Amino acid sequence: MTSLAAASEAGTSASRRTRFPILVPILVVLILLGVAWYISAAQLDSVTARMLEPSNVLRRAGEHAWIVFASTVLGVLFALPMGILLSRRWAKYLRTPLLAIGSAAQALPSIGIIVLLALLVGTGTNTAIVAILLFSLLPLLRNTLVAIVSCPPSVTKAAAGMGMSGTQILMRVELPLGVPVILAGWRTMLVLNVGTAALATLIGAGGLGSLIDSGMQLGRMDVVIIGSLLTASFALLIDWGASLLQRALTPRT
Amino acid sequence: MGLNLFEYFLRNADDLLELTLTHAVVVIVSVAIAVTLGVAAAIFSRRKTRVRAVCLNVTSTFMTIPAMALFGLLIPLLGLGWGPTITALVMYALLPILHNTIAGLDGVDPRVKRAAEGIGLTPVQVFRRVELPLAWPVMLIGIRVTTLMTVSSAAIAAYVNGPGLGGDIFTGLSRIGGAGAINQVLAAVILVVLLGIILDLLLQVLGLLTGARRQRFSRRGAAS
Repeated sequence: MTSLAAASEAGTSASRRTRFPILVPILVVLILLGVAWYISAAQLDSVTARMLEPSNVLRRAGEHAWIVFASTVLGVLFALPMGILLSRRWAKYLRTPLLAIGSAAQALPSIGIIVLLALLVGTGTNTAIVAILLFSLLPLLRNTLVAIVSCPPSVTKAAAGMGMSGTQILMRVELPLGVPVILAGWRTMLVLNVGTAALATLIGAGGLGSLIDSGMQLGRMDVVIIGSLLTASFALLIDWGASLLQRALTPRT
Repeated sequence: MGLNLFEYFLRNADDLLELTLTHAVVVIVSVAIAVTLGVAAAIFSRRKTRVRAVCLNVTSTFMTIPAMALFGLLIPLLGLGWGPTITALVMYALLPILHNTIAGLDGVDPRVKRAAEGIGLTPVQVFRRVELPLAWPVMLIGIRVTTLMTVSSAAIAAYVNGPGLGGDIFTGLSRIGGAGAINQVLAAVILVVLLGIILDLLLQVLGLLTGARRQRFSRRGAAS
């Protein structure tokens, strides 16, 4: 428990460090300008040109965004209540074994879950969403649990002394105080989702990864590089947006 | 299916053992390089706030880049195989190590440092005999986090013909619908997780042997 708390603490302060908020968007804009310049200026053969058509790139980005959005929303809807349930006193003896399983589950390879699920239930976008969701649940679940459990007893006892019920203590004391840790878990989950969604193309779910993959399949190195740059830019932008949201929602103390 | 999987393990024991060991070597090499670089960067940037901020920002940006994109960017530079695999894994492994080393060193009570200076230790001695041992438990947590993460992301390296168990996952995918594809992938996933658990246990034993638990006890004592 000590080690887990310390690990999640480490995660929180790392993500809350100032990140030069303007630097990331500038970098992304420069990358996008470079990519646009290359597509318009270079002599592309017909295969490459078709893969890099703006309509195709935008469609891939849209697929990527949908996979990330769906898996993140479902993940929050599942992990947040689960974390709260597990923080209740009756779940005390469930916690230690579950946290141990959770720590071993960190070694689960994302690609393995995606491929396994595709083999079991078939390929496609929905399979990808579920696989990504399963893979990324843990950080938010654990941070929610740790945030509530590590609320100082002096605070909860004071709240109880004021006559608050268990639910009131949860809603008005434990959860608000846990917001920074919960948000850090949410952001970790989001970043994992964006990264894992790049693998979705391997099971026929599209996304920006499919630019990289088709470039590899057809031996077009420029498509591989552009696909990678776009995928990385997408991830950096999402994480940047999440960091702004995190800063806005974190109560100042 | 359970029996089939068991049979699959028995029939391919040699191959699977070799793949697992290769996977372990990839992880250990990457984590070792990352520990060297990360600890060096943490020590180098100790009193330089700006350098430290840059190091943390750069390594956390690495971590944000999807594995598929990072491998895609490394292929033109390093080709296929071990080169991009180790490079990408080291890039991902840096942040937890750097971060926890900094946190560990910062967490050393300044009074302890002053006491050490007071009994006549030189700055190097203070660092090696006081600060480093006290920071070690926190550093070890970073190494454990990194190791588990590296075990899991090393599987994706098979996409750039990287060595290890990931190859079986991709082969299984290419044989989708074929007999035995599920067993092949399931076996690889199980072995990856087992490898992660074993390496984590080894690191915990290392922690016990090097006294990384001492701080935990003292902290509990202080809290009560």
